[in-house]
Amino acid sequence: MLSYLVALAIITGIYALLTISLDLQYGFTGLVNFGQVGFFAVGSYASALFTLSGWPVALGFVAAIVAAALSALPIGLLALRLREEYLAIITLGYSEAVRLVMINETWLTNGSQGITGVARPFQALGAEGADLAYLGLVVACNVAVIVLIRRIVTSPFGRLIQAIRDNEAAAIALGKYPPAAKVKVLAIGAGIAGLAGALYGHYIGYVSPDQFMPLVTFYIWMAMILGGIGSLPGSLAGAVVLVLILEGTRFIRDVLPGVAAVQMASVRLMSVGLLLVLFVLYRPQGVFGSLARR
Amino acid sequence: MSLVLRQVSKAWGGVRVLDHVSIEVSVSDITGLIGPNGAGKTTLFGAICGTVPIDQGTVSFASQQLDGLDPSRRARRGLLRSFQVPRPFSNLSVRANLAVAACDQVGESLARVFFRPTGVRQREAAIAAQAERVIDTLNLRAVADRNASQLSGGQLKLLEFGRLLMADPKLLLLDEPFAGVNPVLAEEIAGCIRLLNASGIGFFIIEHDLRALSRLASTLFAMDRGAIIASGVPADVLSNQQLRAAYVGGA
Repeated sequence: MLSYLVALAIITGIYALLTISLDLQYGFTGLVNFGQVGFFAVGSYASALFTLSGWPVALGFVAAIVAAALSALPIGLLALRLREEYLAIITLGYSEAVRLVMINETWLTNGSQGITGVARPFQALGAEGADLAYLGLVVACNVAVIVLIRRIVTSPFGRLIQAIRDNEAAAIALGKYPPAAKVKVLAIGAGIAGLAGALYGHYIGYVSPDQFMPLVTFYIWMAMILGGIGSLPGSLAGAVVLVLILEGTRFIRDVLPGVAAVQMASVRLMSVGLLLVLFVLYRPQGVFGSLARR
Repeated sequence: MSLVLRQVSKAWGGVRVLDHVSIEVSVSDITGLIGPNGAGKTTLFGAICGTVPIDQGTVSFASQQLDGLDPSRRARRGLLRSFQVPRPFSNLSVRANLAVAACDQVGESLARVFFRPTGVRQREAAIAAQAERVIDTLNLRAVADRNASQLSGGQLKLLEFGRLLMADPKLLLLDEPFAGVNPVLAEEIAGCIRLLNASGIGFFIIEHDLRALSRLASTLFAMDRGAIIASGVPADVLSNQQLRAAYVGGA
């Protein structure tokens, strides 16, 4: 039971990083990133590949952050001069392109079979000790990222990105240049998603294209909306609620007779969708209140 | 120092919205721009600020050509505009709305936020002090900590005006500053404009309230169908027959 809870906490922490990163981009800056899973995947693969070629895990994490952030730059330069809908389409396309590259460039990624034997740190501590230590690492990463993002959003740069979110034309008329700020936010968010990817890969010990379906992006959006857009505590709460729903719906079968195992996945998605609809109807500001004053 | 337009033309499809407009607006004056709806006044503001690309002609400010400069660069040279409908940063407080607009923001560089925080703090203190002065000038003290989304229409007009003041303007282009504003507030805004003009800021104002504008402006330009049809001191321009015909719709 304890190891199950530790596993849940680790997955929650990884989702929390992804949600915080999206919240920086959408909640604070208004960037519609529908390709979050793409940056997550680039981070996972980068760290897996570099550590398998002999790099230490710590450097693999750094490589994951850098690779994901760099992969965001061309998207930013392409899309940020266009209207925001284009960024949504381009990022969605990007994440699918990343997945297709992972499937097809077998020389690098081993195709749809994925990469096995990704290093799992802390093994010297025994199975349970390793998981606990890993949870500590995930928590430390969350704390560091929250400190970093709080510093960013409370700085004059943070004020600028929120102004751009609220009214870009007015910001331009005051002499601001939004594309530069948006590219930075997109890259920082992508770097954090890359870090989450590395944490995920080294925890599961295996990365493959089918772990990085577009559905993951929408889970992250859901966590952000449930928690409250533009609120860092909200992002954390949203990730917790999301994992509780994803895990809790496993037990629906116990109370819902006549549901076959193969139908469960659909029942899960339906209940997640229902909850989202209920939230948007009755608590549109999320658990912590959208755009709450920080 | 002045804003100079030479033979500026713009067509949307086949319709000529700016027709060889040549004007000179001095930054030491308050200048008015009048004309019926659809005359091209707001488009002319767009052409000056760079949000409307022009087909022909040149725009220069303080003896420097602006052609090819994007809107944000033109704003940084002190050429700032307001909008017919205020565009607040709704989820930011009045103070933050004002602070965003300040120029030379060293804290908008993340490298400085993390590695040169002292410089950022000093600049922020100066910006905060400047914002307090603007809050006093515009009588916004009671709502200074509220989100812009909670302000009334008149307060939003003042806030937008205040943001422009924070940005170190040389020439302010105001698009209908008195529209939808009660007479008391209109008088307050007019008072601010006179005061700021005396301190060296130029104004170029689009306004349909001709009486208010002629009391304020020393020069008027009148537009109709994209062209300047009259210019000069307000009394002369307002008695111009062509302008009267344009307003009543006859010819």
